[in-house]
Amino acid sequence: MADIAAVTHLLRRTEFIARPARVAELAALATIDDAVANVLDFAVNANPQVPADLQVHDSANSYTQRVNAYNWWVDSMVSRPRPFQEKLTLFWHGHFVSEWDSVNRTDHMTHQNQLYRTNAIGNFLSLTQWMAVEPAMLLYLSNAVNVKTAPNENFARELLELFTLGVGNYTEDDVKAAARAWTGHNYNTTTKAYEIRLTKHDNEPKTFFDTLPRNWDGPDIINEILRDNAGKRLIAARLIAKKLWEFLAYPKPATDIVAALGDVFIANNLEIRPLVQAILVHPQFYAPEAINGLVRTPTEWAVALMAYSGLTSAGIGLYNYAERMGQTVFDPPNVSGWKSNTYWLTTSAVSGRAAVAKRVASLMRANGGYDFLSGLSTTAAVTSVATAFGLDPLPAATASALADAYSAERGASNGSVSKANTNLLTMMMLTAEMNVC
Amino acid sequence: MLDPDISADDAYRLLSRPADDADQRGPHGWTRRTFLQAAGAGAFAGATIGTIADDFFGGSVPDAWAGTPVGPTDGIVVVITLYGGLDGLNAFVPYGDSNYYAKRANIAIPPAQVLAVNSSVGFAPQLTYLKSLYDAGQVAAIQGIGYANPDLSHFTSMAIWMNGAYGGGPISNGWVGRWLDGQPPATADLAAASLDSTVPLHMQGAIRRAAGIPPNGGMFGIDNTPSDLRMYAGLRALAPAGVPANLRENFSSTMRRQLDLANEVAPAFRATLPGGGDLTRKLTIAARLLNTNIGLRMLDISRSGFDNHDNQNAALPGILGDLNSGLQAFYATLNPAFHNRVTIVTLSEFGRTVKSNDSGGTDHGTAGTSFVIGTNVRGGLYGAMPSLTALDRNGRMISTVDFRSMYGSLLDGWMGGGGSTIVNGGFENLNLFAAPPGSPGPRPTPIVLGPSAASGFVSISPQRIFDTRDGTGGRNTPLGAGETWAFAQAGQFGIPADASAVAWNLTAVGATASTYVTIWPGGTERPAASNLNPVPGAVVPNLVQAQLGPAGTVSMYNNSGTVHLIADLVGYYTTASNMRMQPLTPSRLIDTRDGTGGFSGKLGPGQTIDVKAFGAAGVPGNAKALALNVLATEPTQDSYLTVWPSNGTRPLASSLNMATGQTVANMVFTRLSADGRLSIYNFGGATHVVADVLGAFVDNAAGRMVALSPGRVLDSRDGTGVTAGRVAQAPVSLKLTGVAGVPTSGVSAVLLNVTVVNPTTQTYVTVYPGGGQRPLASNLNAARGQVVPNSVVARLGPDGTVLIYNNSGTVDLVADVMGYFTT
Repeated sequence: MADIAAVTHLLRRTEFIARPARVAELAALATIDDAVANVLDFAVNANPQVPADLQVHDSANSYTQRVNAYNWWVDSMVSRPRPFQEKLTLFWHGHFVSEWDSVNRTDHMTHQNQLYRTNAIGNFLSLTQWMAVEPAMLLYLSNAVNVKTAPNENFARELLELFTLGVGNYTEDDVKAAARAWTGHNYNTTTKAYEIRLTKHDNEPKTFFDTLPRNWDGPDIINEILRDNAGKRLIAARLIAKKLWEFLAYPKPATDIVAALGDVFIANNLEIRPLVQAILVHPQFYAPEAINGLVRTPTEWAVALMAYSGLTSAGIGLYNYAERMGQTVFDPPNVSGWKSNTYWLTTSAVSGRAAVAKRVASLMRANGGYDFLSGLSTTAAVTSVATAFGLDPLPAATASALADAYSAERGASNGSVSKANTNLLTMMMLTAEMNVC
Repeated sequence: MLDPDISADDAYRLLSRPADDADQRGPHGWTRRTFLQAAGAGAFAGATIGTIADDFFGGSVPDAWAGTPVGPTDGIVVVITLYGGLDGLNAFVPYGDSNYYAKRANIAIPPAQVLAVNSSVGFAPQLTYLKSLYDAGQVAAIQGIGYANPDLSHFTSMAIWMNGAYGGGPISNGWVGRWLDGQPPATADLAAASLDSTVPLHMQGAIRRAAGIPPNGGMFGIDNTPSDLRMYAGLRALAPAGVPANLRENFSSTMRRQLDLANEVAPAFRATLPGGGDLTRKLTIAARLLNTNIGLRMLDISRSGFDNHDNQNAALPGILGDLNSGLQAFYATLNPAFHNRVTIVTLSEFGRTVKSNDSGGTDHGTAGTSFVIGTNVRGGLYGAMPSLTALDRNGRMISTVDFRSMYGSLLDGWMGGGGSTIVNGGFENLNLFAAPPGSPGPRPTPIVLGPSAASGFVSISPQRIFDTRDGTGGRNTPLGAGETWAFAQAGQFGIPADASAVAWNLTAVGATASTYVTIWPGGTERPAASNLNPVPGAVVPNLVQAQLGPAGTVSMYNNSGTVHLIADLVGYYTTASNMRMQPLTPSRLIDTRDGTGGFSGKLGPGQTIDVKAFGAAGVPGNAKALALNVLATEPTQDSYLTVWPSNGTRPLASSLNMATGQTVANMVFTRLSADGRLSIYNFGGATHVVADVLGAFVDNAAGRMVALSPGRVLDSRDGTGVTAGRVAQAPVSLKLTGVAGVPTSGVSAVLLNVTVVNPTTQTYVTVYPGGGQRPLASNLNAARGQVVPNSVVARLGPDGTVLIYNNSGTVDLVADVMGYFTT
């Protein structure tokens, strides 16, 4: 039998919340390794697709498409039988960033999104190669207009700095060479597709990583980093391993963990699935510093609220609150994506969560919802609401603070039982237990 | 340069990553009490002064916000960070250097469009307001600002700029944050804030961090019903009493701080937030936050979008326009008492390449231009524009001023010192300031108002709101020579807070010298225009229409001697009114000399006539109010006329004042009674009265009024608008579209103040549409040697012109635009 606490933690980190049915299902398996294999069994999802109407760009309704795409994806995180596929799609979206604001085409944004979904646990080298020629990326980082007479360094720089190696592991000359290598890998504004324009490619010899000058082409650059140059490959493997660990476990892992995971990644030819598996079965993944070691991102928190309340993204109007909480999927703040933990603990981002909590509470209270709390004792009401959000049992201090506030509102001469019920739901969503786990 | 560890945690958001409140670098915004408690309890004994990548466990959380007003001589700095790398060469343009045009032909700003400062450099065409501040000596343009061995990565270069310290080593905090660290605990709570959902590195110190205030106003904790307050108490109770030990405690503490913060900044968000660009909105909020005076001394705002690798000219002008509008909105909103305490500085992580790329963009560069703005700034050029041809090994410009000199100069010159400590080394003091913060007698910040919103009219029965003879309106002494008097209008006298403009009948009495009076939007720079030309011994009226200034005031100025001013409010303009102008070709409503309109013979003393306007002189049957030109002629004694809607009580107000024997014309806006009548009263003696209709205010007519700051469009004395020289009987054709803020199309009529100067003989002047027949009507009458103004609703001809006809002798003509009516 897998350990229930471990399974609960595994599910929260991979499937957004620990649904009781899934806890029971995984706890019945023999080992935690089996449980990990189960959450990674994306075949159960049956090859999910972006809805047909969001695969095309409708310039007359681009804003509606953008909201619909947001709602569809967030709803998918709730409803997918194996939600981990969507969570990893979110990871790759935050790594190989494109911003909707900048690309501003539905077809390109959803096509890129599907690439991350399909390759969520595929091969990192392949993913990087494909990503590089996605129209969204061509437009976002300017390879669309990178030509030999005026090389544009935007993509080349981020490829080295953010996507693979990190600052300090390349030189300005490498950036220039990589930019020249990618010249001619452009975007056809008529067909709206990737296009190689041979006349725009710089065929002159270039020196990359101090190798002998040769006519590097764009994809050669990625192959050099991730396949042919063992030193760079290891640096990149560790960068990705560390970033995935920080996404799933906790920030700043010890160097030996990163080194070991990097070795796994290399040994598996940069296949992502074995790397993820190695993270999820790592004893340190279940260590005390991992439990409650991550702040739920605004999207993860909202997905949890939706799962517990039965509300949809559109029903809440979540898109309208996303920016205030600091995270709008499909539109990261910049090319470096989102950070973690205290990144989300700003007063303003917390204020955004409070606005969502108030909205969700009012929707949950519609049509007499949770009126039954009025017939319960104060402590029973708190327990009931905690259970509704998967938080039972709450720490005693939290439970008693909530009970005090609930009873104060019930008892005040200018208060109301109805308002007390609404506010209890709101406060429950804003407890530390709901936001950090 | 950077701790390699920073690389994996990429920079931008890492730099602007962390919470405004929470990591382990110590107490942010603690009250003195909790700081001492925590310190006394050894809370920091084991704490590492964090590296930037530390983001696991949360750290300190303050107990409460405690706003402390800013002292009268404390400087305030607003930092505007332009993320992405502003192309300094297209913001502050070296248009005198031919290399500029040779190297970036596809994006260069043509010389004619540059707002030139001298023959070498000038501002981008969008930066009109900034240029006006520069002209007023309030902008230091620091050219070629950058640093040695520049880094071309956004993140690294941004980190270097934000850090702002000389020397290597890991970067873990920023220059404003280190300034904040040095503030006394009692005032540090709200001394620094970022108007953002995250707080960037430059706002983080080693032990303190600036607050984060979201710019959208949707802040939790501002609502304050009793139930809300009880819920807030519940959420506060979830937070730990002391230092948060982990992320969960950190979350609850952040919530508590949010509630504290909301309590402090609520006033800044109560009024409606303006539309417009990101910086316009943020700079308006910034001014409001400073106005709340809760102790803010370093305020950080930002906008992105400057990384223009392609099609730069489609993107950058709009953003620069936003910066320009934002600066204007800032000064229009900022309490004038703070003007001489605030300095604004713009910065960006780098400039861009001299050479443009084939896609009409520029790539990451090095040096740029920063602007330091404020009433007490010593305006002018600083540094030197870098060579556009002698470039570094990466083909980038070589900077001429180190950005840390700017920081140090700001800190020492404006923020109370500490410059060399904060930038960690000696720096060239740029001497950016002409006077210290709060120094008395600041030069007023010029505010250039745009056109008002297109508005409808609300006509009221005349109401005396200002009279310097008896103190009505708050002043009981005449205006002195060169004196300006601001008079609050919005929210007063039934004028709504959002009114665009007011219409007064303004009368000058008891002038001790020949002078002129100018009326213009309060708080803005006085235009070269005039409304009244009083002389000793005369009572001079004119209808005045003034756009309201940013604070809802109107300013009055008297040039020479002393003069009493009397204002009768006759109406105001607001977007909420659908009563709009239908301009009419001037047509005579009554003339007591020949019986036109049914009245024959002079009005006697105290006599009132009741004039039916509907159906007469082209007045439509649904008119609610009229614009009339009223003329008194052959009066037998000094007197005045009052015009008001029939059936109402005659107000104590005058529409026209005349002296014995004088012929005086004045434009009058008057409401009509429901059955379309108006009354005219003569105070004393007997006088002929003539009234011409210039336009009608009708519900849902087309003509919305757009008020403008007065602008001179005609002066025959100096050749403005016409060949210089005296005007005889050939009509002057004056093109009014496309000048002085009047658009090139969509204009039906222009509200003009026309002044006749020094006629050689008794004469009158008629203003009528270009291409049209001159009507039998006059707009103003003047005797030999007089200076006589009058307002005119000048209907335009199809070509956008009006004709101005002088009946006798020669005159000089002057005309100022006060607004226009739309089609």
